[in-house]
Amino acid sequence: MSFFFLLSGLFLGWSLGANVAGTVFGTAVETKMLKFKTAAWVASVFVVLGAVLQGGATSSTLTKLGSVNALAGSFTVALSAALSLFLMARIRIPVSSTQAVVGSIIGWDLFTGAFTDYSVLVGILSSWIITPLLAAFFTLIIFYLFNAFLNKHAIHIIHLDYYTRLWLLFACAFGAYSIGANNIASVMGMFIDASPFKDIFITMNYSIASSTQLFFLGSIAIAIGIFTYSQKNIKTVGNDLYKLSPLTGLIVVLSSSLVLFIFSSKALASFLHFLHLPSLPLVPVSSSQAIIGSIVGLSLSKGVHNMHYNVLGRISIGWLASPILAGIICFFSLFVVQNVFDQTVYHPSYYIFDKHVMVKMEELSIDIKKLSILNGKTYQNSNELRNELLNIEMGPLKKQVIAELSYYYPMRIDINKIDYELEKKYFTQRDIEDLQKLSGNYLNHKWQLNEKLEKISNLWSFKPKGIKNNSYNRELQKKYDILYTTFKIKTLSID
Amino acid sequence: MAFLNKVKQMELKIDEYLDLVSESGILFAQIIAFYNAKKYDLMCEKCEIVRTNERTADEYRIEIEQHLYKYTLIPENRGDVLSILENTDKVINQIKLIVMTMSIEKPEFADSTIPYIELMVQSTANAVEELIKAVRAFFHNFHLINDYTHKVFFYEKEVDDYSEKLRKEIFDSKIDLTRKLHLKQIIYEIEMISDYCQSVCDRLIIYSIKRQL
Repeated sequence: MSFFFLLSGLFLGWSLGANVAGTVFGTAVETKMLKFKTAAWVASVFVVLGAVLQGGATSSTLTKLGSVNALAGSFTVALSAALSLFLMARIRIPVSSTQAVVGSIIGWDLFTGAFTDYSVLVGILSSWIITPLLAAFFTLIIFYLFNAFLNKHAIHIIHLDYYTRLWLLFACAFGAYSIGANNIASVMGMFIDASPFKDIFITMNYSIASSTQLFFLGSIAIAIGIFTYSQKNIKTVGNDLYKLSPLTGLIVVLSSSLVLFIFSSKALASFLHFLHLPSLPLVPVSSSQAIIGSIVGLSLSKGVHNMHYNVLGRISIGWLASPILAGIICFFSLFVVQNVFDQTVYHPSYYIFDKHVMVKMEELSIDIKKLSILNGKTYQNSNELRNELLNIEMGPLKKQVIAELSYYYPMRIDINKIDYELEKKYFTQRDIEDLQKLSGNYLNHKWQLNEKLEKISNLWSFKPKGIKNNSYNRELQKKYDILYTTFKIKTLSID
Repeated sequence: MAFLNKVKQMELKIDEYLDLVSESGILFAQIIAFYNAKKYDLMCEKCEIVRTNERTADEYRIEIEQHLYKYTLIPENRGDVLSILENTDKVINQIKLIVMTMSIEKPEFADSTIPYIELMVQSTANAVEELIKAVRAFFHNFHLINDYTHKVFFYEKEVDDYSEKLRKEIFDSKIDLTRKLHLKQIIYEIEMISDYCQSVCDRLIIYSIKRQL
């Protein structure tokens, strides 16, 4: 049954694959520079590579937006996104799967009463504005570089044709890799918290995470979409907007792929942070938005001729309409799935203000006098808590901390589970000894486990943020995540 | 690698094709000079070279066209390239037609018209030479096309002027009408060479705009 629920995500992946061709190799195939089969093979291989090697970065952002924690919920979210894409395609408005998925997740948040992290939402929404602008900017730069190079070097038309083919092949691979890395979150991101897969340990030092297995499956669906349906749908996104030649098509694909890559590269984000430069958020962005931005940039660099503004207007309406439509469809679909098909579309999240939470808040210099009304209370979902916090005068960051501290996550530290389920790859003998000291303890919140372990050894403490400590902190967070999952105990609803 | 070899072969073939047209333009001026100097042996010798050039150029052109389609080279500009090659072929065909007509029909030019004939032929040869430079520029560096096409237009205009003066001279003279019409036809055929050059240049200018990034 759990694999049946994945079908909607796979369907979404398939439809992304069917559309991705237009983005990454539409111009190349349409202008007969590349054969469809060659382009499809290259794109498929690189989509899978991008998804598996670099797909994790953007999916964590989607998880923060809405932690869809039940498989039937993930199924409905993906299906609603796919349905809205289908409806928009019927009225011939090109839309983005990313936007539809974001709309669907917000629909899930609204239905379940889960708290929508507005800082993440603002990050995603701002990326929808930055994406086309950045793509247009990159196009201008690449256009002038190409133009300067071609003016300086007299290349024979047939030789230029040969180099253009090679570059188009590279752009196809790069574009597919970037789409795999950035957009896999839109296809499979909502299944991460409810993944039916378990980590596969191949050797002592190598394992395949459940999320990687999900991404692999999703990317295979994209590849099947490329092979089975993209040839019918090959027309380049935005070709209605502006007629592209192989060279201009190459510039457009390169610049839009670069944007997608930037929005999904952890390494680049760390590097910019190291240089004390602002880094872009790692969010799934729309490839079609990037393409449209690139085409507008191209037309600007050529002096705005032959631009079809009515088409541009229609596309812009689609950008607004598709997330709203997906959100509405998702909200009502969740109602149907929950009440008609009797499926669990979400697992409730509780927020409990017990004495541990109150003490911890005091330790963190949070004014608990203002929070006295919360003492001893339990909230059934994040939205209920948020509504309560609205009446309290406090900064949004502190409110975020309060929500994280009170989040109910019951755990029992069971030494037997440690022995059997944890692998030596993640934990040293000393770690196991530390955990044995806590064996038998019952904990209500995640932070309590951190606190208890930090008291035993400072090896369990996170180091200050910075490029040098990023990798250490990531590994430590991974350890904690494994422990949370391993020790979690199921609870019935709390009244 | 094999594809790259084909690309290089194709470039070489196009260059050789243009060499043949250019060489025929130079030979055309020499042939007319030999004809006027009544050195018919030398003229026949050169005519034979032009005839061979024209045949080889046809073979090259067909080979290039077939290769462009077989290996789907330059799909975006293929139609433009074919149009340029076919129209350039008209130039060498016309040169062959005139030199063969001269050697067979042996038109009798009056002494007073010979300087004009020589000037007209020289301008025609110059137009062909500049045309070939413009076509090469289309393949290598299309930004230079205008540097050559304007010269072709200049020589074409000169040819028209000389042609007009020649026809006036011929029809003012007291020779037979049949001879007048014969000479007029020869002059018209020479004029056609630079007209074809101009026609190719018109296309080159449009295609160069299309090739801009």
